[in-house]
Amino acid sequence: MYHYAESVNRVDQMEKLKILSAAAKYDVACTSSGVDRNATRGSLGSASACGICHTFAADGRCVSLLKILLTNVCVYDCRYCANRRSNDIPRAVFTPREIAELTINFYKRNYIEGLFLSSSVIRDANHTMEQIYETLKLLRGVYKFNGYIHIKAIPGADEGLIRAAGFLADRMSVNIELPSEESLNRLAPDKTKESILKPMSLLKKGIVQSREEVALFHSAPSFVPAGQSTQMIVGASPESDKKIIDLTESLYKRYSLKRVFFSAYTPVSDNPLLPSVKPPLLREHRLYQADWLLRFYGFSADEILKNPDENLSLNLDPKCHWALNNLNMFPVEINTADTRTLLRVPGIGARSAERILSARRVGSLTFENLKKLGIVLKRARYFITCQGKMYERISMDPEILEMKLTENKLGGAYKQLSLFDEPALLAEGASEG
Amino acid sequence: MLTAIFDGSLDGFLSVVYSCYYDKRPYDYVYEDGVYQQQLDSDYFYVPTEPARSVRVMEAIGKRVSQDAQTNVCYCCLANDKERFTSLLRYVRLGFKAGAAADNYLQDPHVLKVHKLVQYVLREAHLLTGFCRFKETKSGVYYASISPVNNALPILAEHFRERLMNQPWVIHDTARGIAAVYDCNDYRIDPVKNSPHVDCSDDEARFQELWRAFFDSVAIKERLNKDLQRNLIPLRFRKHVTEFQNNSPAFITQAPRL
Ligand code: SF4
Repeated sequence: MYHYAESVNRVDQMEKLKILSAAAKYDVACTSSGVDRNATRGSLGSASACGICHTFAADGRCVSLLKILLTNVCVYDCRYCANRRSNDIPRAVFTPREIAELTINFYKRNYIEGLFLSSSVIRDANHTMEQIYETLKLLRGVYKFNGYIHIKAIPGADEGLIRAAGFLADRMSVNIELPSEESLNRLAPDKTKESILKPMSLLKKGIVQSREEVALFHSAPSFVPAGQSTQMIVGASPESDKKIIDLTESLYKRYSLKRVFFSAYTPVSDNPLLPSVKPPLLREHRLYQADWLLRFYGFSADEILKNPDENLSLNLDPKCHWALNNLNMFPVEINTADTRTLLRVPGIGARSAERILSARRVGSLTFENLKKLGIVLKRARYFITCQGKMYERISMDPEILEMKLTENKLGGAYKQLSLFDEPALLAEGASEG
Repeated sequence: MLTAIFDGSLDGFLSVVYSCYYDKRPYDYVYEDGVYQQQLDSDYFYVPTEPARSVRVMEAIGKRVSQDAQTNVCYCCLANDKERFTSLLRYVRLGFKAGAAADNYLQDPHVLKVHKLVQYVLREAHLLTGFCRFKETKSGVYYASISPVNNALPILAEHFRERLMNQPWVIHDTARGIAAVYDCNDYRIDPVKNSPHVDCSDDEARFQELWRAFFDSVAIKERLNKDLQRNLIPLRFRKHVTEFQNNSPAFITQAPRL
């Protein structure tokens, strides 16, 4: 691959930035949240656990990190990837110093929250990981950069190198890429399940160990304090949503991941092995909603979907879908239900539940009260009672309810959902695309 | 009817609370001087701001109501709503009766209003911690302008005092004519009359261009969604935000030198 490196060095900085940010844009993990770190004298910046969006791109996705590749020169040939060796595209390579300077200058102007550095595999895994590590050393050591850094661990790189980088990064991720081993073999012939899972468990071990050490000795250096995340491409291969949600659940459990990201596959090649359709955005959105139920609402993967080849409904959000299949649990009395039960009511998110719990301490609530509290009853009203009364007479029949819940949507489902329905989801969704 | 008029500051409001109890005047309305309409059926009292009293009131709120109530009072004062002080006084008075439970009385329109305003203030300030853009000037000071609906400047100044601790900066609220000026030690918020003369450093244009190029190239064109973008970064913020500013060379040379 050296002939690339020769010609790419002549590309000017602007051109490099364009190439290497465009090449990184399909990577969705953009959250900068998860660590709170105060600034110190003599260093630049801080990290904020609640996550700050600095701008929103024309596709409506949050931009909070300078998300770039070190290089898009790759020795591998994954079929779903625009940077694959066999693809004829302009290539570029950043030096660690160039990346550090961009990061610092963007940060000082408050364009960004930090850096998200990923890379194709240039020369080999170790060389690539070394360059990433160099960049981190410059940023943390020379520039005293104290802001957020997320890097990719390159599968196949030396353990020692990955560990060393982990002490300088806030978050690391290894992409699981595709939801099954068969798909991986078919579409990413150079990768194996093991090569991906190995660095993942290495990171997990490091994180657990470091937490124990930090608990004992406060001065112990912390390893990947914002945890690890991963990403998989949805729609490039035939797995069902059930399969994806099961995998997601087990990743959270087995590798204590902080986040699993989904990326709707955007066609980047006309390889007959791959679909050539528009990116399945609504499906991606539903998966994020399901993921939300897993992480914050106490649902298990088996509750969300039952059958192995089942997919999430595109018309109904996963919580509504679950509620319609479990109508025996409804309606729920607003004045007595516990938190967990309240959170299972379609349309009631964390913030609404909190308000209800607080307000009912000083008085019994009616539907009028709920409206005043700013609780959206559009969906919730079919599933709750206030002081024993329903909002309107309606039979608890799944088909009738489904009709009620989907009317007025007129195909604008994605837009509506991503904007107003669930404030909590909006906050999170907004910071993550 | 009793109406209190005061200078609109936090200390001023706390002095009104003091007067409400010690002068035994349970005000029905509280307004900032200059933003109210005289009603015939009300008696008006101008309440002077007395920092010594306001400190005592703040302490009392912390002890007898809650720390949450203290922060609610601080943030609610920053809201852009003429009626906020009236609701805030009712809220504080309820607090002195009900203690920390006051925050549960969301059925009370004043409590709900205070909560909503506080949320709005915090939400807008949070957005601005992301949207605020600094320019590097020749003198090495970083300059940013904003024009928020609520008075977000005090919250922003606290944020950037941490984040950009080692560089001097100015955040200028052009709508209110005030600016926070930070000298690497501490900041002060003062009125500014004229728009300051901002002379950009030699590198500034280059980094702005690099940033705009980055901004354009990260959008995935198959997923374009300008409506969503407009909801997430509303137009009213954009005039201060580098990546939404016109960047033709003509514009740069003709633009007033900020
Ligand atoms: S290794 Fe990464 S960059 Fe290279 S082709 Fe595969 S997915 Fe693309």
